[in-house]
Amino acid sequence: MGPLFPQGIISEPVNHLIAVFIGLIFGFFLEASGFTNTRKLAGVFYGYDFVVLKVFFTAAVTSALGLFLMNYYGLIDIKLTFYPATFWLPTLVGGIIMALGFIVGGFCPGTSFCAASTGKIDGMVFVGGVFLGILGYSFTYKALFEKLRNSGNIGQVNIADWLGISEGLFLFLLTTVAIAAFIFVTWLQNKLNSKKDPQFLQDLGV
Amino acid sequence: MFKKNQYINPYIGGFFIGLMMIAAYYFSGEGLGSSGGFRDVTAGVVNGIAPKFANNSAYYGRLVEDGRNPFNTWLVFEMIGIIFGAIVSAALFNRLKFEIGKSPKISNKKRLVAALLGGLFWGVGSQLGRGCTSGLVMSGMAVSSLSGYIGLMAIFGGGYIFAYFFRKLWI
Amino acid sequence: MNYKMIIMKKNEIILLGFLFLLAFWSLFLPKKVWVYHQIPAKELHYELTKNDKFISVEDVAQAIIEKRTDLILIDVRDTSQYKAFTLPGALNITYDSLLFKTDNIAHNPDLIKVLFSNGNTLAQQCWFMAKRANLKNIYIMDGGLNAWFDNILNPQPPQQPYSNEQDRLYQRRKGLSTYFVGSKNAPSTPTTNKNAIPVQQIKKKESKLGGCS
Repeated sequence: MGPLFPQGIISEPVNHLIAVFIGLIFGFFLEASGFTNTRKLAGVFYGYDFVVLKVFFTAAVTSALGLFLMNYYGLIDIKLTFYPATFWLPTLVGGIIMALGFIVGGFCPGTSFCAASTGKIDGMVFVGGVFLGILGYSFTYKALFEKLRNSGNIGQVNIADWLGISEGLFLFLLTTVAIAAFIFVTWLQNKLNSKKDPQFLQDLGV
Repeated sequence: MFKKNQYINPYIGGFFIGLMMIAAYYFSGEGLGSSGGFRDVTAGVVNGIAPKFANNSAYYGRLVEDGRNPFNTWLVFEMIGIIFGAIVSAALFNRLKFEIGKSPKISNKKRLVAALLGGLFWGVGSQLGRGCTSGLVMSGMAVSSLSGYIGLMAIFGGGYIFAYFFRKLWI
Repeated sequence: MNYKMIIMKKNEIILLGFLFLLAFWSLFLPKKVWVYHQIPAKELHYELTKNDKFISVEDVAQAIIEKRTDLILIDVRDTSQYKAFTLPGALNITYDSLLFKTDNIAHNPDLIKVLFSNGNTLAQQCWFMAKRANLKNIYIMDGGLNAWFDNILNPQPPQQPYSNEQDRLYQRRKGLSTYFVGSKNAPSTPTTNKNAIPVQQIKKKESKLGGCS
C-alpha cells in the first residue's frame, strides 16, 4: 500500500531515482503538449488556444479520481502523504501575483523550465527571473512577507468537506464540468479562429 | 521525423501528466512541483556560499536546518528528469533549437523584458502561495485540497482580469 | 463558411468517457467514516494476545534513574489525581485526550510510552484505545501506582522460604527504592537488568516539508 517512501518501503536514493523518471515523463508530455510555446499558453486567456485548459483539467481529473479510488480501495493511504494545509489569504494574494506573472511572462515555473531546457531563450530569461524573484523574496521575507505568508491557516481542508458534500459527488461534478468545458471551449476556439489568419493558426499548430 | 509544430492530443497529454501525479504521490508521498525545485536550488546555492547566513535566515533556516542539503530533495531530482524529458520531446518534434517565442507584433527585447518580469512575479508569488500551477494547484486538486482550488481561482481568475491590459503582448 | 466542426474525435471520446465512468463509479461509493487509521481486527487481536505490553515497576524505576530520554511516562488518570501524586517526570494525558492529535507527544512513534494508572484497569483501557488507533510503542506499567507503592517505595522482603530469584528481586527493589525514598540500606547484590526495556535509537527523520510549500 502506498505511499512507499513515507513508510520506508523504498529508500531515499530509490525514491529520488524514481523522481527522475517521473520528471522525465512529466517533462516529455509538457513539451509534447506544446507548453514550451508561450503563445499557446497565453491562448487560454484570449480564446485562440485552449490547450492549457484541456491538459490541466484532464490531468487534475485523472489524478483526483485515481487517488480517490486508490485511497478508497486501500492501494494508498492519503493520510500518510503530504496533504497541504490551506492558507487562504497568502494563497489568494500569491495567486493574483502569479496570474500577473503568467500574463506578462507567458510561462509558469515548470513550463519555463521545459522551455529553457529546449533552447527557448525567453524561457531561460524567465527562469532567471524566477530565481531573482525568490532571492529578493528571501532577503525581504522577514520585513515584508512573513506575516502574510503565515496568515489564514485553516488547517487541512478537503474541498468536498468544505462544500458539505461527499468526495465522490464532488469528483463527479468536477469531471462533468470539465468535460462540458472541453466541449464548450473547443466550439468557441473553432468559432473565434475561423476568422483568423491561417499563418497564425499554423504557428500554433491549431 | 514529425512535421513542424505537431503537438499531441491535449487530453492524452493531460492524462499522462495525471498518471505521473498519481505515481508521484504513490512512490514519494508528495505531488509534482516546480517552484519548490527552484526554491531548493536557490537555498542550496545560498547555503553553499554563506551557510551561516542561511542557517540564521528566517526564510532559509527551515530549509537547511539539521544539516539538510536542499539539493538532495525529491523536487530537484524531478526537475532533472524534466530537463531530459523536454529535450527528448522537442527533439522528436523538431522543436529543439534556440529561439525566442513571442508574438510577431512585439520586439525580441520587449519579449525578454516581459519574460524577466513574469519570472520575478512568479518567484515572489509562488513562495507566498506555497507553490505554482503544478505544486499548488494541480497537486492540491489531486488530493481535493481547498488550497489547490483557491490557487486555481486566483491564478486563472486573475489571469482573465489582467489579460485585457496586456493583450498587446500576445494578439 | 460551411464546414464540419469536429468538437471531439473518437479517441478523445473514449478517454474522456473512461474518466467519466470512474467519476460515476465514485459517485455511488458509500461514504467511509474515517475512524483515524484503524488497524484491522486481526492485527488488533494479535496485539491483545501478545504478552509484551507490560513493563514492570522496577524497569520503570530504572528508566527514571537513568534519566532516559527515549521513554516517557504518561499518567492517564484525572488531573486532580495527577497533581496529588504521580511518578517523577510523568506527563498527564487523560484518557479522553489521548487520541487528540495536535501537539500530542503520545503520537510520536519514536518514543517509548508507558501508560500507568492506579492499578491496571484504566491504563489497559487506554492502551486498547491507543492500539486501535494504531499508535506505536505503547506499554503499560504492570500494577500501576499501587505496585509502585508496594514494590518501589516500600519494598517488602520475601517470606520464608524464598528462592534466590525472589531475594534478588527484593535487593533490586531496595536499591531502586533508595533513589526515590532515600533509605540508609544499600543493595547487597548488584542490580541486574534481565527484563530491561529495549533501548531504541530515535531515527533522525527528515523534517516533513514536502511539496512546494
